[in-house]
Amino acid sequence: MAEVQLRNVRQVFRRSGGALVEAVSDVSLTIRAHEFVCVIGPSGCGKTTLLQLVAGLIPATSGQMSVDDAAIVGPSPERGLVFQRDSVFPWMRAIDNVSYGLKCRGVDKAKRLEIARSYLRRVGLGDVETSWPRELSGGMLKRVAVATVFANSPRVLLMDEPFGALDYVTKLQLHQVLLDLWGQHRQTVLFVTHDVDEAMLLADRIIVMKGGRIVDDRSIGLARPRTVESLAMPEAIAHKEVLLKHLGLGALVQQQAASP
Amino acid sequence: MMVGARAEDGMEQAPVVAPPQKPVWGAPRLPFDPLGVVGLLALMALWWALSAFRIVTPLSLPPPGAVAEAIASNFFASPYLANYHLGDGGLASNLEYSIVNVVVALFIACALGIVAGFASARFDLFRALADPLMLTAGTIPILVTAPFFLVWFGVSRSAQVALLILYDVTIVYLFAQRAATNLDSTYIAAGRTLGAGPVRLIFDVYLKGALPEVFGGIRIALAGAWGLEAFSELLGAPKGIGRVIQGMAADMDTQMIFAAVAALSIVAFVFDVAVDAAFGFLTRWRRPPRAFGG
Amino acid sequence: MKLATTHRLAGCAVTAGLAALWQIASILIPYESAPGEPMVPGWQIVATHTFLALSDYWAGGFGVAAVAQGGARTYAGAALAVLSNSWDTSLRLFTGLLLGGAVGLTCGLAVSWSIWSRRFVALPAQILRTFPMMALIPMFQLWFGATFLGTTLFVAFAVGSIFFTGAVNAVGNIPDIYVDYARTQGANRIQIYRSVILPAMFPELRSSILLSLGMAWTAVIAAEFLGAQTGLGQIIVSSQYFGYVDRMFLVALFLLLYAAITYALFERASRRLTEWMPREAATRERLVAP
Repeated sequence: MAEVQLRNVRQVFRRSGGALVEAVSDVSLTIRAHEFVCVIGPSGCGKTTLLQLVAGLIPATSGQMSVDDAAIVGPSPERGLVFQRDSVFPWMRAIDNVSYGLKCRGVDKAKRLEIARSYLRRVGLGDVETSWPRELSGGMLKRVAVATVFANSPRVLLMDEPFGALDYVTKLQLHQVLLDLWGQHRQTVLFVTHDVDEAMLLADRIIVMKGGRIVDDRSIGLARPRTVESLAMPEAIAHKEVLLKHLGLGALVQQQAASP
Repeated sequence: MMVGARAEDGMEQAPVVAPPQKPVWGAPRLPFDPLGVVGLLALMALWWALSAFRIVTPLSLPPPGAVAEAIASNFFASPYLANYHLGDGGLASNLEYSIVNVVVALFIACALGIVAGFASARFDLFRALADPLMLTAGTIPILVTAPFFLVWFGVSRSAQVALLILYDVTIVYLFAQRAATNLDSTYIAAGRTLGAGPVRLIFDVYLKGALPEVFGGIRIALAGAWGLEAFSELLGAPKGIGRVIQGMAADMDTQMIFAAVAALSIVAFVFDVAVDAAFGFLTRWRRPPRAFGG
Repeated sequence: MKLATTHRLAGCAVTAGLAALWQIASILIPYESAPGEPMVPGWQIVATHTFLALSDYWAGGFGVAAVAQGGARTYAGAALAVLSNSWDTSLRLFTGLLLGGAVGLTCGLAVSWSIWSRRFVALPAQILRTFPMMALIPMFQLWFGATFLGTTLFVAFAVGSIFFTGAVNAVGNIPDIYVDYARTQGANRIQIYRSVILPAMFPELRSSILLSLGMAWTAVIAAEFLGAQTGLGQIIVSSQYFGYVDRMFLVALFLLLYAAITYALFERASRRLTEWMPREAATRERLVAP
């Protein structure tokens, strides 16, 4: 699996009024192979922009980005991306969606349908492979999206608040789906979220961004698989208290918090 | 654009299955709402009554029976029409002329309009140049150009087709541009991250995603095209339904005029229904539109 | 530069470009449809020879003699010809528009009073959508004559059908929740109509208004093409008969100018009616290299 390197990355936008906005300021970061990294931060902190930069959807204003020393020049199925909004093509059936990336790479029909079928089964949607997306619920569509990305055997997995629009129960189900698929090859993951609990459940390492900069970088050493109990352990609570403070929610933390 | 009822997510561990939903179309969208047929029959009855009870003279309003008989007896061959230099093929061959013009013009206009519309959504410079042309052409009466085409192309098929292409293109362009602009950028980004090159993006994402809205525009263009074709023929054409009307009007044969207009309107309606069904099938992946009633 | 100004400048540039293209075409295409009558007249010809020729269509009066009776072609005659024919065309247009709008709207509202009557007219309304309206012009001219009444009534009929179907659709698309809300507050049918249905249907009606304006222009010009004695459309067609493309061009320009002006005025006026609608403020972010 792949190592992602960012060096002095800077991203500037011009708003329609003409003002310049620095969404990402001088970010340098190394994500080691097989690492599951969560980036959290308040709205507008630049975490989504950072993800889009690594995905190759937008070019950086300045700085270098590379995956295993190969520069990032544009989007690629090697850096699979799961979006927050519905990205499953409504005009293709579920199985055609999952096999689309393989089709773009020229894999022949029988093989790609077989791969797609197996991934749909892995996410629990084996029975709806010929359904139109309009027949599927939000959670099911998200499973299709996850299956699609994994079917392309990415070396890096990028996730942009993928479960943000889902209800609580569906979100937790999707966590299990994701961890199950990830467990097989342990791709390098960059997962953006504003949900601290989600980050604690999923990540080996949590990066906090604010105002376009990285303000904290913590290793989460909790053992997997993580449960409600593991999140209640003192070291987990300590992490969470610091993270909440970063997000400006210090009022939720008791004043006598243990130092990280 | 993603509105509509969704199936519920199922159990915790077992595979989640949702029963496929049948699309729910509101009553007015089906062409054969029984009440609508009643309404149509009521109108027909009113028409019959107006002429049967001599409220209006038969010269002004020929009774529906006479009109139907005129269509039937003049449909495939008509010595009557042949006398007016309208060909030996009766109403049918004149209808065919008009239909061919409408369809050919629509095809050409779709090709031009979709390409231009998509290009204008993608390239700002192109849009800055094409928009003023297309949008003003959309607001001015296209009809004004009809006599010009008559002068430049003479009394020929080209005059009709040119006018129709002009009319259809402005509509299709607008709808194609709107469809491409409204397409959720997430789909395009998803296509790119899945490895789709520019050609695949255009065909697999842009075109497929924009199809419903473009189809709506095509239907609208088609609806207006029939009247425009008839008018262009009224101005000057070798044959066609409008030409038939012109000949009949000169002799005040209202029965035949009604027959010609009725024949054309039936053709127009049938085309509309068929095209709506075909488009509905091709875009059967759509979420059904919200149906309001009450 | 703001997007709106760019678009306006582009619009002017395109218009200027088209005018220039026309001039170039007039030089490159020297064909004449009749001796002395170029097929593609340059702007210098249009402004002088062509405009003067329009005085042919002045029937005499106001101290300016008719050309047909031996008078000379004068700018005054031409101006009077343009004015009187513009007046004729506009009168037919606006009378038909008002009449058709009023009748179509009231019928549409009456029909959409109850869902049953709406379903009754659904099929006829769908047939009306694809109906070849302009094929009926000869009928209207046979019924009511080829000048004012026939033309105006045809315009009214065309506009009326647009308003009718537009009103029925607009009422049908009002979300149930507004009506239910009013009902829970105790409103009776008339009150619901006045306070919910009418205001809520305005935005959709706006597009019907703009559509019907376009249709009105099309209808009046079409009717004049096919047999009027006066009016701008009539001038175009009688010029076409003789191949006077330059006159067709100039009069067409007048028509397009009028149509564009009325369209802009209508758009502005109807916008105020729908001011309460929430508008999407689109902000576009652009990338800029440092």
